[in-house]
This record gives sequence, C-alpha cells and structure tokens, in this order.
Amino acid sequence: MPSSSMIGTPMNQPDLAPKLPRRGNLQRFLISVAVFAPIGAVTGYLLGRALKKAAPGDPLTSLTLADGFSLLIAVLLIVSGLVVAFAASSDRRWNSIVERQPADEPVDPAARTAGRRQSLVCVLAGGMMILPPIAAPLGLSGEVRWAIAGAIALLLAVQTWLNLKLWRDGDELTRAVIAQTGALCFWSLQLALFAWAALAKLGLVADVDSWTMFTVLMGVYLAVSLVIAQRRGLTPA
Amino acid sequence: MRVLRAEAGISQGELAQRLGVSRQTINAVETDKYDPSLPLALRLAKVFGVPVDAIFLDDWNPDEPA
Repeated sequence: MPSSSMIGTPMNQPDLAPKLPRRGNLQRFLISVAVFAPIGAVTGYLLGRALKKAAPGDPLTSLTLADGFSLLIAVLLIVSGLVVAFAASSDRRWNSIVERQPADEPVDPAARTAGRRQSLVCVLAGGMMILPPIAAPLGLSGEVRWAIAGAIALLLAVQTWLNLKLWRDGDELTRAVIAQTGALCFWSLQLALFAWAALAKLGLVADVDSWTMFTVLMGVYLAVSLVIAQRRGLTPA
Repeated sequence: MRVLRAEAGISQGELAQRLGVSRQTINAVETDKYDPSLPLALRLAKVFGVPVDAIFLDDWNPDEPA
C-alpha cells in the first residue's frame, strides 16, 4: 500500500465535537510561571556561581553572546528534560502533566517510555551544549580537552541511538512532527545560511564561527519543534 | 469522530490501542490538529463500521474549478 498522507489537504471532520474548554489556561500559565521562574533563577544563579568558582576572573567575562545563548538553551533543555522525567515517573503524574486527563485513567506504557527517552535526549543535548563553552576558556591541557571531546562523542552516540528509537517506535503523528520540524528547520536555516554566507563573501557582514551557527540552529530547532508540537496537539496550548 | 467514539463507548486510549497509535494521535485527529494517513483513516472507518467520508469531510467539488 502506498504511504499516502493527507496532511495539507482540505479535509475536515464534521464540526460536531464540542470545543475544548479554554478556561483555566491563564491560571495554568500563572502557576507555571510561579513554579518555573524561581527554578530558572536558582539554576542560573547556581550555574553562574559554579562558573565563577571553577574559573574566577577572565573565563566568565570571555563568554561570547553565542556562548551565553547556548548555555541558556542548554539549561532550558536540561530543565525541560527533568520536568518530562518527573512526569514520566508515575502514571498519575503522566496523566496530570502530559495527558491532562483524570489521574486514574490507564496510561499507555509506550507513551511513558517515549517520555523517558525524550527526557534523556533533552538532558543529554543540554549536557553536550554546556560542555564546550564552559571548558573552552578554562585553559585546560590538550589531553583533558580530548577527554571532554570523547565524553561528548559518547553522549552524542547515546543520544543518536535514543533519537532513532523515538523515530522507530513512534507512531505516525510523532514521525510527522519530527519530519515537519526537520523540513522547516532545513529550509529556513539553509536560506538564512545562504543569505549570510553570500553577504559575508561580498564583505558586507562578518563571518560567523561554527559554534554561533550551531547555537542559532538549536534555537531555531527548539522554537520550530515547540510550535509544530503545539499545533499538532502534542503539547498543551 | 468524537461522536462515533462516544457512541461506540470507547475511550481515546482504548481506540488508540486498537489502532496501534498513541492517544495523542487520536486526540489530534478529533480536534482537527492532524489529518491521519490514508491507512489510519481506513482503519478508523473499519473500527466504526462507516465509510471514510462519514468521518472526514472533503469540501472539494469536482465540478468547481480547483
């Protein structure tokens, strides 16, 4: 059977289903801000303190804007990974945080497994993004830097395997979201990269380093994946 | 589809399990956030015992210019 997708075709269901209630969204948002803003503040403070303690003086101030953004994205990834891990730690929490359904509803074990994998992917991605900008200004020896590179390669291998498992075990909606995110990121980023590269070649703008490009890529990827997942109903509106 | 599911007396989770997809997929189809693939649409029709176009409407009319 040919794999045919109806995505993008003007196909609608009869409008018989009642609209989902939107009441409580503001309350939920305010609670989220009240819970996660202090977590963000404490995380940022602790990270800053750890950086200062690890290398007082120059290294902290030598962080570039791209380093700062990549650290921010890394912390976001780690925190969101930990939130998903917390949600996936019990059926009750999964129902309340992710499924938004009564706590005693049966949970699909595959969904919780995917949640655990997703959380690990986020934490690993955050860890990999944190290591280079923090390690770079510390003046470490070549051996230590190679050891860090080896650790990153190991994390990358594990994360790639988890991503493959997520794709293979995911259903058609999960795969559609992954594919659409990838396609949109590719087209938007190759357009931006070409535009910037052309301007740089003409001497009109400065060249950007690879870490800056990677940080932009991750930022765009995160934003695009959040929007697509929300539009497809995988995350609450 | 939500009406058909309610008439059949099955939850989103049960329907998802029968079709081998996630509950979020069923929810996304019911809330018009995702148009299912043709195989899934055909299986949904089989589960409810109705033609596909009883579940999904297509506004396109062959007599009107595209």
